[in-house]
Amino acid sequence: MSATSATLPARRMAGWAITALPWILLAILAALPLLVPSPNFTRLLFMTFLWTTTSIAWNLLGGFAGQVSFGFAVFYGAGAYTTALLMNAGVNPLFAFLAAGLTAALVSLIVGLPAFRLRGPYFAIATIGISEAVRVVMTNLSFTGGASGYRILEHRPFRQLEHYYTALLLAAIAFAISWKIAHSKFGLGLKAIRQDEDAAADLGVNPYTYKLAAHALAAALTGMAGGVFARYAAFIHPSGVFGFHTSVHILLMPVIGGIGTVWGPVLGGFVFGIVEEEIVASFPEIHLLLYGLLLIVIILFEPGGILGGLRKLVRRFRDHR
Amino acid sequence: MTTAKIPILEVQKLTKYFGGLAAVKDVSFEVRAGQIFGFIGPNGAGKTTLFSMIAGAVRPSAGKIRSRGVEITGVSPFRLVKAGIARTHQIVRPFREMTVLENVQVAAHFGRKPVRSPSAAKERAMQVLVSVGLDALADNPASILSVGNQKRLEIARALATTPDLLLCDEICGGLTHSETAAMLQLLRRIRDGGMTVMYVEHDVKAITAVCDRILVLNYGRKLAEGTPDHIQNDPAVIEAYLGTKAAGRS
Amino acid sequence: MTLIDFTNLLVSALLLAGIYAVMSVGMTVIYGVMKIVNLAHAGFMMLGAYFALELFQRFRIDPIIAALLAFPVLFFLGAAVHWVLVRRLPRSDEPTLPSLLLMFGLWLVLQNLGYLIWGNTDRSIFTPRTLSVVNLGPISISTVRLAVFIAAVGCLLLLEVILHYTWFGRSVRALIQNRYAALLTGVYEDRTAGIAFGLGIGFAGLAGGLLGSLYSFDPDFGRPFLIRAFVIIVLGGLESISGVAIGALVLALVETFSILFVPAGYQLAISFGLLALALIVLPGGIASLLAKVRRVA
Repeated sequence: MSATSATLPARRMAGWAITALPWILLAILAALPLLVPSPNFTRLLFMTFLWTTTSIAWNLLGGFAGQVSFGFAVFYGAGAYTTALLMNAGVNPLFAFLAAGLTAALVSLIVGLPAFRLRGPYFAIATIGISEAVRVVMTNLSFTGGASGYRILEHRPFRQLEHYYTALLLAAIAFAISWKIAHSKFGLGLKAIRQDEDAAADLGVNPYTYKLAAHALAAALTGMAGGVFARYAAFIHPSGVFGFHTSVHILLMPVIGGIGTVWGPVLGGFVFGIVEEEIVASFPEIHLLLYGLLLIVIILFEPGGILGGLRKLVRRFRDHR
Repeated sequence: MTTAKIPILEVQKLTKYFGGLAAVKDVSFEVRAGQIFGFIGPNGAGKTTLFSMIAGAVRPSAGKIRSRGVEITGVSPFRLVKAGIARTHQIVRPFREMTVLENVQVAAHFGRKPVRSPSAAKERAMQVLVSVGLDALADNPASILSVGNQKRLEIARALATTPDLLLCDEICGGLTHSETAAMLQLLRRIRDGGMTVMYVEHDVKAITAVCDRILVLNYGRKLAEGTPDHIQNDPAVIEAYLGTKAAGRS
Repeated sequence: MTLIDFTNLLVSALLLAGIYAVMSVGMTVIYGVMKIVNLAHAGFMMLGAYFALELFQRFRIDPIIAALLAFPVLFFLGAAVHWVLVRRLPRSDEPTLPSLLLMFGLWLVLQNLGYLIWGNTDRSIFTPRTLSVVNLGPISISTVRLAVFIAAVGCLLLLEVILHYTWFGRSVRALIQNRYAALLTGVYEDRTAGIAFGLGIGFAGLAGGLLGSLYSFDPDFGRPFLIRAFVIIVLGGLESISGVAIGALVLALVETFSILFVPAGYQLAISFGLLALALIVLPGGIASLLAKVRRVA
């Protein structure tokens, strides 16, 4: 592979740009609400950060390890309710968020211990069932308000920016974790499991504990996102945070953006967050249809999602030079 | 008692039933360190089942397997790797979306002497690739390798887990004449480096060319055991492979 | 609890098992032949239910007959879906992530179509039969449940006949047992797979139509039944059609008798607890337990 003197500095610059990109993005997003002081816009970005966190989280298990779960709403809801209950008991929000993550991780163990005995799609369906069962139970549970929901009473004034930066921080942490894992022994083990679980075991990987670990980490991040949401919304109910559509959205984002990559879930989270707000506003009756068609098209024509499509474009552009 | 006295693998009355059929019945043998120990037998003799039981893929119905005195019967594959036993697959199973180097890197990370840092694992992986002659292909996706090279990759991955005992499952299957000779030469080099190899093969010529000791299976039972010369001249073995007339003629 | 009450519950469970079996057999056929986990099964069941509803409301056709008519209609729909979409999936001997997501996308599309065409209010099929009861001595059986059961069992028997006495059925069984070998012996995979897929969808529609006579429904109604179908299939051992019958019976018994102990809202959670327990204790499903019993040690 020869590199002319013209392309070497270009490649070095590209490498620098890629490492700097997350920091630049972080700086822009941190400055944005100060430059564009619109509460609506801030709220939109806030939700996008939460969605992106869950997208990155899901991708750890579904993208890196290849275990598709349709039941992440369980963790989102668990985190939401844990935060809500603790905050009403007077606990500081930060601890409530951490507790949310911990609770969600514990729940993920209870779910994963039996569920990971199943392979592939059977694991997926098991997660649908578990998610539904939890929703049914929570809908009937009276001390958390049952179907009518649960309210958080926070005695401090509502400061939107505080929520915004909390969500941004959470998303940034999720991204950092995802990036670190992708370049680590843990990440390589997960990828090996995705490609061929038995061959990975034959090389010393313990698939069961690795899946449980990825699941717990993903659940913790999703749970914290649920907690941050609960504090912002101040009112949560089972058919929302534990709803099947929540699981669907969480799974759609990384698939749309580029499953199994580091940036894919981020792309998917942003695209979804912005589009979902617009679509739900303008065409609520067909949004399942749109997501379904999008999923079908992606699976049949571009399984790598948006990122995959972009990569192909870049390669074609480079090949024509 | 020196470690040379305790066999690296000891199998006692190993048996496996599928339904009512005994695929392997009461097979016992010992493998000493530093040997290439081979298994042959006609089709359906139980070689693959025996191999699978030792490799932890199949649970025996009865019998015991020990490695250096420690019982390993029914232990799952990933634990066997930590105990120093690694295997190759008859039908190659590379991680297709990873490069050749990354394939071996996985093994370096998770083997008997695990490595935490990706750069250290890559280094060890590269060393192993050099030793099997695949270093030039290190950055290629594993999916584009030829069959011969994919078999080498299987060996490289197993070696990168730093095993004491390497289990080879029909590693010459599908190879040309010259590829087979090169593969056997590789096995000899591995053995000469101190490794013990347990080798299941269909090709009688390959087995007799490279093994120090051979066990012949027939209908799930041990038919004969000994050096290649001994085996080749054993009337029972000849009868099993070629039929009674041929045995009568010898 | 008296013997009569017990017998009533038992009969109830049996009748339920029939419809549960029909509901699950479609998923098993598709999985067995193509190794595709059909999440859209729920959507097709929903279509079957609405199809029966439309025939009943517009043309006054008996709902059970309408459900039976749903079979051929959904068969052709299934074959068409296979031709347009499913055929393009890469073939595999194992379930794959793309196939799972594709069927899931299809399910979302079907659900939304359901909402667009029929709205989101609950519908139900109400006939004189719905309230009437058949009395066998002291046991009283709801007529509609009995009719549904007879239709269900009839169709399952028909399926058994097709699978064991026709060339097509043999091809299907061959593909289920060993895809590669089946191809080598001359089975046309595309055509057989298309017909098998249609068959699976046809059964989904039939089951949906029958369920529509028993319960009220909206476009999302397939989901709890999808989960139940899955529990049944896993209990039954994933690829065995006779296993489906056993799994259906076990689930129906558990669900029916659990009403005695647990409020109705928690039934789904119970079914899932059963599944989790079964997976921990018996990963191969009930079929593996039977295999162990049959073996001569």
